[in-house]
Amino acid sequence: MNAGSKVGFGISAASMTATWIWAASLYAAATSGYTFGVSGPLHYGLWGALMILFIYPFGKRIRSLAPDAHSLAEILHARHGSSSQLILAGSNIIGSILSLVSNYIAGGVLIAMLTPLNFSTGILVIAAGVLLYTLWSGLRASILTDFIQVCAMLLAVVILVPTIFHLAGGPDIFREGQGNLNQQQLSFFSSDAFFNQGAPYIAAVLAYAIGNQTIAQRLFAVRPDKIKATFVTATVGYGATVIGIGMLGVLALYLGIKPIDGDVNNLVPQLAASYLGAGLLSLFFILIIGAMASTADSDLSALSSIVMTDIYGRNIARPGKANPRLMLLLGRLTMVASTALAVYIASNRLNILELLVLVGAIWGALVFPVIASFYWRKVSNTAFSVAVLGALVSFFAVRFGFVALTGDTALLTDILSVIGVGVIAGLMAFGFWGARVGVLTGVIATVVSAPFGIGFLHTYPVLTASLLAYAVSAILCIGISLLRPDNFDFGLLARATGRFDITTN
Amino acid sequence: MLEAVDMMSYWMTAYVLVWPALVAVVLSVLVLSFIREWRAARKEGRAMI
Repeated sequence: MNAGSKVGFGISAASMTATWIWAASLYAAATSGYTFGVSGPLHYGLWGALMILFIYPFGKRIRSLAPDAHSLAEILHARHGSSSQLILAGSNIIGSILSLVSNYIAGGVLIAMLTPLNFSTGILVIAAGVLLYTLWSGLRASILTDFIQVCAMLLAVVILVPTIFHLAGGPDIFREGQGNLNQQQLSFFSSDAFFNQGAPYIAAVLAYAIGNQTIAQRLFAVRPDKIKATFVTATVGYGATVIGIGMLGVLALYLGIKPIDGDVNNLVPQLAASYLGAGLLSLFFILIIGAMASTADSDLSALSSIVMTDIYGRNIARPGKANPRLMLLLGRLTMVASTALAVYIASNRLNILELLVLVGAIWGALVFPVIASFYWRKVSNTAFSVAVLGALVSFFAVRFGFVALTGDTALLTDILSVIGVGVIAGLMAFGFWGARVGVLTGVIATVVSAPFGIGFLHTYPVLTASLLAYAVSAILCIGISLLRPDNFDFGLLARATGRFDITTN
Repeated sequence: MLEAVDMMSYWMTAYVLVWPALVAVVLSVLVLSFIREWRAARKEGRAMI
């Protein structure tokens, strides 16, 4: 499940980079560049990259508390019990299934565009291929293929971006195309880009990093002395790759290119098809399929790990009596069932963006309670569960318009939103510099953002809903923990996790 | 004015091309590390993963 927790730096860093780069993220970075101009790719790729770095100190702490664990949910079971564990496992499952869906759709669309096969057949071909090689050897296959895929993807970026730039006109693009951009698009400090792309993304990606089992699984697989180097390399690799592809969107904007059928997702394939010959077009195909497959196989491995460990190992099998063969069978059946479900959903072409926003919010509600549970002994199972559920209720109410953001309600959500800004900033600082700096940063961020945010943030409901999830979960978690404190001994975590390997061996 | 446009064009070109250059550096670090780890694993007679 975790490849023995002894995977070296080269493969680990490659695997983490490959897993973090979604096929959809390559398209989205270019869309961001096309929509918001020169700062657009930074507001997509830079924040996503930094989040890998920000998750590093928390990962190191969690790994030190439970060195033999297989998943975050498994550690939460040891920390709080079944309800908290199942909340996290449930969110991991939903997230991984939707990740599979979006990646299969991205792959299916590309196959339909570049081959004689139709969309549905394209999805089936891709899903079957990924399932077969992941079934072959689980995480080992996933990590090995990640390495091959990431090399192909990075090589493609190194070749394709300069080639398209050169063939599209080189530096003259900027001299001649300046008139195609408005003032916001020409600025590196565009407020439009920050509030519509950067800010919601910061909130969502921090949540993704905590809630997504694929990153956690790699965290538990890498050799302990190589965790830092792995995370730093993955940060730079992801950022440069995604921002690099995002530059194609900026070039399209300068060139005055209109996306086919008005769909901005067509931009990158459109540029590739316009400027590249057959050979380089094949390289582009490998880039997108590699990005898609590396994430999809990671999701399958993560899903099987959750079912084997969190559902069967911790909730069905009697303590110390987990059957390794049954566990493996369940893991494989999970992969098959997940693939079938993802293919079914993908074939209906649901709105991926709405689904992903939903998952982002679920994970956003988890971030503070999960992190607090591994640092603060007072956090109880009740505090964790009520905080997460309360945050989800507030998110749904605002995100889907059940509550109108007017009058006093708008004022209340604005106040909570600036607290949410403080929670996010505080968590980032806390990871690297400890509790005192974290609290201070959170307070400063809240105070500084209050004059600008109150009376303003509710005009951005997607951002408000995400910030509410952070604020409400933090307030409830801290409040209940202070009123009815637990007194957990963190030394118990190492002894209570990762016993399946002992049984297996 | 023309000089300002040329400078902007120069910096924008650097801005676009610096990312693939960074990717090339990361790619070489990954490949070299992989080769080093593969050799070490072979020498010690163990699997890489």
